[in-house]
Amino acid sequence: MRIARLDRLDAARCAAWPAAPRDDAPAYTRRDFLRGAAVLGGGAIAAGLAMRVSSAEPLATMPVPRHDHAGGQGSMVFQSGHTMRGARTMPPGAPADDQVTYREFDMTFELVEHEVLPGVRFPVFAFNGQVPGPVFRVQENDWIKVNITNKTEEMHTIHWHGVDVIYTMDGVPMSNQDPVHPEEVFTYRFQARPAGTRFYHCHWGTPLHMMSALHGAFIIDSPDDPIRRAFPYTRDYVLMLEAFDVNMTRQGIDDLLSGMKQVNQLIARRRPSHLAHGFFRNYQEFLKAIDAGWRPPYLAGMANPAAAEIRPNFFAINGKSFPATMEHGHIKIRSGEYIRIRLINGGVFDHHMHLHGHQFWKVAEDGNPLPQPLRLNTVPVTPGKTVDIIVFGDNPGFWDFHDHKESQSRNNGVYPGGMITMLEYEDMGEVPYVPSISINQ
Amino acid sequence: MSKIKTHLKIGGALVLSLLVQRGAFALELDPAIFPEFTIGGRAVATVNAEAMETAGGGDEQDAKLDIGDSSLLLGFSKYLFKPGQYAYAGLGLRVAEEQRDIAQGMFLSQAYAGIGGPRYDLVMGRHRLPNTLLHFPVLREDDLLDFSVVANASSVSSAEEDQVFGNLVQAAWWWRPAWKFDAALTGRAERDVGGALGAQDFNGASIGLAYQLPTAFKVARGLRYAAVRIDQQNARAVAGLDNVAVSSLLAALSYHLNDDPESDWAADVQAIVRSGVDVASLTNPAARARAAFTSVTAALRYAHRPQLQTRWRAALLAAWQNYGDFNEANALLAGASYVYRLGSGVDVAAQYFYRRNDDVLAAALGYQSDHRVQVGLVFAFDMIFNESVAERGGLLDFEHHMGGSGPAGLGE
Ligand SMILES: [Cu+2]
Repeated sequence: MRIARLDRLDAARCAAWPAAPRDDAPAYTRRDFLRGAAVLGGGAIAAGLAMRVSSAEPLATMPVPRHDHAGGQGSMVFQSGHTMRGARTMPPGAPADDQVTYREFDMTFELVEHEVLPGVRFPVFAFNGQVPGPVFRVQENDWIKVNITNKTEEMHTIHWHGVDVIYTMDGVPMSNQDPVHPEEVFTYRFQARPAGTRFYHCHWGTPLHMMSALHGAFIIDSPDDPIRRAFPYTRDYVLMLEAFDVNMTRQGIDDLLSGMKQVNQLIARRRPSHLAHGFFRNYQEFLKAIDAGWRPPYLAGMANPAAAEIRPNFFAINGKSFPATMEHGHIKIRSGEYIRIRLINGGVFDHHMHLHGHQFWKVAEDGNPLPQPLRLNTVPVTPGKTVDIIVFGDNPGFWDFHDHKESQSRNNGVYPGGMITMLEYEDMGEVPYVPSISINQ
Repeated sequence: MSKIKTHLKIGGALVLSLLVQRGAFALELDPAIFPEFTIGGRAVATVNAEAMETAGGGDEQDAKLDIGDSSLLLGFSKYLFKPGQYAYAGLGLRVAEEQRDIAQGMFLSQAYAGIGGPRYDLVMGRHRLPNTLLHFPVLREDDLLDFSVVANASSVSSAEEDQVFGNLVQAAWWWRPAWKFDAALTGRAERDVGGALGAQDFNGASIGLAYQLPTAFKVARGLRYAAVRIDQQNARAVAGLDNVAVSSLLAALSYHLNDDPESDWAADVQAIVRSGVDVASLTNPAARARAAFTSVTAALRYAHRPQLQTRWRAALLAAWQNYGDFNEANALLAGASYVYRLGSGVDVAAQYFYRRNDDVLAAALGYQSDHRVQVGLVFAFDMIFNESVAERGGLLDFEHHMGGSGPAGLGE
């Protein structure tokens, strides 16, 4: 099933890509490799799935969807008398260590204080304690193993956004895995595919956790990347676009840490109460709980529309707001050079990235190459999206590259700030005007 | 750019100015900073039924509606230039308890301004006095006032206006997040027979040391609060009583009794000891506040919280007081309070108290014993707008030393 689906995707992608010949040899080689990998890993995958559907058959060959799954089956959350503190969890479904070669990564969920701008510090959850999380650069079809340790008192997961993982590794709490509990080590295993600009983020309490600031780039390279063939770029930049509601984040994290003290206490007493955290085996159980007098938290929110609002006051690129974006330096280019810029929306707000003095090519969206590159100077990067652009160095100078939703080019309402950085030619020699910094206009 | 400017002026004592400016263009931004704004309040309406045995042995019964202790509080806070430093102001109005000698509708309970940082706080103005260590789970402030608060030796009124609130300048310092030292200069109301308020001089001082670990932060069993305080009053001449110094020692403990956040047990106890000075009788509140005195107040609290959602709370209370220089004149109080949650901040509340005075105290107070039942509704809310100042009392500050600082006790 998996191979069939890949073929369709591949056909759709390659047929329309002008600079990439459709039927080149590497593509076939890659497919052959995939077929081989699936055969190797097939036994383990089937065994893993069998546990869940009570069937020896792989899902792909099942004639009709079955409806007899018991909600919550396989979850520890509904089992009494257990604790998940310090557990080591490795869901089934991925090949064994001796069947494929894993590229292994150790990561952490941490609570840290992040400085988005001098004088503006606020607490965030962060992968490995850094904002954004570390950039993964892997090759297409690499088998990936990520051991993540939860060093916070709150629960988290990792969702591999735009990566076609095994479903038990998709990181959606209570949909396909239990949330990763405090001190738990959870291992994600999957094959990195398809190639392209992808990302990862926490999927527990997503609005808060993903925004502040559990997000990072997951770049899957491929030796037969059609974009590289069409545009022989020499440098590759990753820009994570972020929106921070500093007050909501601080208050939210404070509140939920307090709440988790009690939940963690119940778990420590081996009396986890799934209702206490709003977990239900199925919809009927949810309705029954409400009938029995359990109060869904969203009812409290109805009285307070202000609490539902997310009002970001700091906007950032790779964790920093202008002028602190300068800590990363300018985006460098030389005359006659192609560079690739990968834009990733790490939050839940729209960003409209505008580059001065250039018409760039938008070459990929959601990590997938476009049928036709688009010539643009402003590109929207909406929530959940990644956009790849190619800039050609044909207009030497210093050029603003910023969110043209100008309300977001501000620091706490003061313009200019936020999502502003600069494209700088390295080969200009003496120039008549060199940028300085202005932060209050 | 629009500007709205509002001035609130209360008795000339405090001017709070709110400036709202849309769009931050100004080179000088300061006046445009909109403060965090808290509006909190509590409406308490109960039907009270009282059966009293008078000092002469007669019976008196009474039933009435009581809205005393209902209150409204406005709080404001904002950050200062220096990172992590804040300023705040509070303004509180309160419905006076009934049957009090000076009760007059609403009174200004609080009007204060303060500044602070991650580990210190300085507040000045009219404020809750540092004359008690615990807030017991009772419906109204005055239900236990005789037992749980160091009384004002400069006022002939036993009303809350004079007993609970007063002027102060208070500095607090936390050298560990859970450890606090504070010192205050206090100005208790000076009120003589006739009801007129005297000069608003400083007439006392207080120092305190407290360990406080909020239950919300450590759910397991254990000590949550321990504190001692020395309260010194230079009592002014009222009702024929002389200027005199009166010292009191307070000590309190709060202990969390179990490990289950779904059914939560806790016990509180507070003792007050005052060496006292000679007074002729206990009839006058100012005289009682000067006499040698010992009191112990204790509560056993329970919160029923299935799935961590509070449904009801109950408490058993007991208190005892003793005037050593008056032939061990004493009083006992026992009671229970119950609060059933109907909605967020909306409770049905019921409370019963029985108090028995010994003969000496009965003669001074005019009654031997008293049964008091209160049943009613409580509507409480606490709404924060423009939330921007972190809480020092938050878990982030308490455990992680980040994001913290911000007014302590705003809204009390
Ligand atoms: Cu998370």
